[in-house]
Amino acid sequence: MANVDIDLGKYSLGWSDPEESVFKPEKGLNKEIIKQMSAIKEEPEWMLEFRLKAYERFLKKPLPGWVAKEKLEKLDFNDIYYYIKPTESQADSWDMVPDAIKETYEKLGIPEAERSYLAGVTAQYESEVVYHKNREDLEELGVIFCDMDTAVREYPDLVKEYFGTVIPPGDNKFAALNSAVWSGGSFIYVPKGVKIEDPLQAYFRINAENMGQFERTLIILDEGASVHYIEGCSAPVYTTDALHSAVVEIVVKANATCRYTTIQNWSNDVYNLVTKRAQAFANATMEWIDANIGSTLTVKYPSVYLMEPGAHGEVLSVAFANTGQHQDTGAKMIHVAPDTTSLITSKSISKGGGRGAYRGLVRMEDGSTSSKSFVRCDALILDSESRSDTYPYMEIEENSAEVGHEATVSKVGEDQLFYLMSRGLSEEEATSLIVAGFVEEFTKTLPMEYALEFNKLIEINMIDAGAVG
Amino acid sequence: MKVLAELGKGKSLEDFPLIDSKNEDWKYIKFPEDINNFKVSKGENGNSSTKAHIVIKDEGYEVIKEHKDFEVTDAKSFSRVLIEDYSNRPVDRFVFQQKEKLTSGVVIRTINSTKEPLVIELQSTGTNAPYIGFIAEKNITSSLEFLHTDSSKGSCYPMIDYKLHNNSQIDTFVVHDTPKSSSSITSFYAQVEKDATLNVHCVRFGSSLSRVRFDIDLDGVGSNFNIEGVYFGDEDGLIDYRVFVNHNAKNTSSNMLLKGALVDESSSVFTGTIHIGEGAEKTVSHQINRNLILDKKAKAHSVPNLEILCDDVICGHGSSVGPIDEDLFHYVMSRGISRIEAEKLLIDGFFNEVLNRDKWKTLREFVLSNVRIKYEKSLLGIE
Repeated sequence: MANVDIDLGKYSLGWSDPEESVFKPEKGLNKEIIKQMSAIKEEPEWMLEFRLKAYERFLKKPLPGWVAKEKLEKLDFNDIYYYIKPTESQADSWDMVPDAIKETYEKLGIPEAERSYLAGVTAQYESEVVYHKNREDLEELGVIFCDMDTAVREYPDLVKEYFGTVIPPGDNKFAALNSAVWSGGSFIYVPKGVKIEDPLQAYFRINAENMGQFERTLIILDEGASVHYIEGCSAPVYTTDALHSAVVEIVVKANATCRYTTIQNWSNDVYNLVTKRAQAFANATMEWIDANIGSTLTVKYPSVYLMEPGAHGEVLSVAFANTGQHQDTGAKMIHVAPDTTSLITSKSISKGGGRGAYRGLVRMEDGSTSSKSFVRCDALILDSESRSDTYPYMEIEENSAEVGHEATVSKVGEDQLFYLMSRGLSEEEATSLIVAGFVEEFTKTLPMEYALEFNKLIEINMIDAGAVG
Repeated sequence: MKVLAELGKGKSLEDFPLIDSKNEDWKYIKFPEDINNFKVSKGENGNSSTKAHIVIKDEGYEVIKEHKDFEVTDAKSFSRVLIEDYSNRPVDRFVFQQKEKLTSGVVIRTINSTKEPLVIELQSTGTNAPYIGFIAEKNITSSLEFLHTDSSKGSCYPMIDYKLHNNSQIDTFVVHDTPKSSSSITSFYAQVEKDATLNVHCVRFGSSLSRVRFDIDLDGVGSNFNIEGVYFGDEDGLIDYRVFVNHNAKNTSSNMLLKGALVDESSSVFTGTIHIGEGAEKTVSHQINRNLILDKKAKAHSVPNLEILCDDVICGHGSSVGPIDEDLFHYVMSRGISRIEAEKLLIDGFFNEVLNRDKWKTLREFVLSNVRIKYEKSLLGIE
């Protein structure tokens, strides 16, 4: 893969530390491993039952036949570590975090970022959260922001009420797998009327060879609350396949607003098979902002169920499919109630033989009167080996609903290149600039340091593959 | 039969998985219960239209009158190979059955260029599965018309192959207006060679099931495919279009515009895929599907797909489903026109985007008056 030759000085997120884990079970999955995992985590009985039931579902469910069949069939579920516990106990201050792990985060720039901008950091390292600190003012407001394992122990009633309700364990094979072996992830509860101004943030990394990471995130916004959550992924480069299969559930109650931003930059051998779903109630707004740059295969369709009148859902997604990559991303909007609205904007870029696909669903249930939805897909193909697909499903069971879809596919215009090159830019720089302009709608939604990182990732992708392959 | 010999060769029905509603190609529709093993049967045939040249019956076909510009041969005695390479024609359990259970077969070949269409009437009382092969010879311009009318009461499952040789141009008209008891499922395949053009003009008024799947291979440089269609669904009728266009060569073009309105409990399905293969540079392709939903229980599903494997192309698609825009109503009604009259005018206007095109001259009045009748009937049904 192209990334092997990246200059590490330039791409500071590509390295790996020697593994130093405390507990490391065998590869593969069976009921014993799940029981053991649950016991180590000191989980309540209901969670163990939930896991075991989900495991049975996982065994029964077939692999999806409609997406990237060949790549999925190569995935060996028995060749994966399902749980690795990084340190004996969870650290509550930065000093207690083991040095090796700390160094990794030094490189990621998290301590500085925390001091200057961030509301709170949940940094995930090999399955379980190793360092977590809430900003005190958030705690005073009654906001709960912790890792999922802690939440199960400390807020069992709250977790039990919502866990697995938005995405049931039998939803699909990968959601079932996650439900059986989940570990880590974030739990956020924002009480009534509390608006968190700064974005909350978590970093996830995979750092053990052939290790799957199955984080589970649950976000609950009570009435009138608002939050912007940012999930950034960066992973060191490995040559064998790793699996990342997360489940993210969000409940946005009446008049609340949630924005969930993801920058997915797994190394180019990771399978990223993620289920993300939100429920938006009366006049609530749910926005998924989703960028996929890394991984060998990403299958991810963030969805919003618009449950009550006035709910609004939005997905803005950007995918960059480079050599060897298949980005199968999209969005789902299920309109259940009257006067609900949704907007899907998808931008995909294919390069060097990569395959970018938009796959989406807009469904208007009977009774979703006067609801509106619009889907816009733009694709840029940068060379003749690459591929771009659009599969927009529209299922309309309601006559007063309005649904529209538009899509275009094009290459970088000769005239645009000519214009920029006549100003002294090289062809690479000019293309890179045009691509950055193509995804600007996305970049604009990001906080500054993310926008900078994102633009840099695009630039690396544009220039790196050109040099290597 | 030599013409179809290569299709699904060496296979048996058991080799094909059962069709169910989870199957992508049969999703959203209520198909006949016996779809996995239908039986052909014979009923009494009705009177045929005066303009028909060929009438396809439950068993066999009849040439009513000759058309000097076409040669009509029984498929059994046709000795040429019509489609040399069937590898791109999808065969599922249904298509395989069509082939195995053929009730008649006819091959039509163009001899001279002509403006007068050859009219083929498809009748059915029981269940039939006719084969119609069509060869457009080099440099010839001609047209065909398929009529499904009152005489099509039962189930009609035609299988159609087109071969367009270099620089030929064919206009195909399909007029589908059959009783509610009827159902039809058509599988249509075409290979279009260099600089040839296939135009399809479709009118569909809902029978209980009216489904057609087009698979078009644009194999030759500069080949073109255009399809324009209007449909109007009423009662519990279902209109199902699947249009798959494969651009396999440079400088090819395809254009699709399908517009439909739905009343009562009718529904429509559109799934289409524009596939632009590797090396099919300079291709231009557009795909548009618009649906007006005029009644509470009407439904529409629209899935316009794109698969693009090369970079130098212009490709776009659009799709919409919804009621008539209230602003338009407001505009027309502010001129003193009642809501119902306004709706009629706006429906006409909606279809006129297609009907005002040149090739639709002969069909325009027929379509508009039929739409009116069905629309008014639906109003009565509600009140």
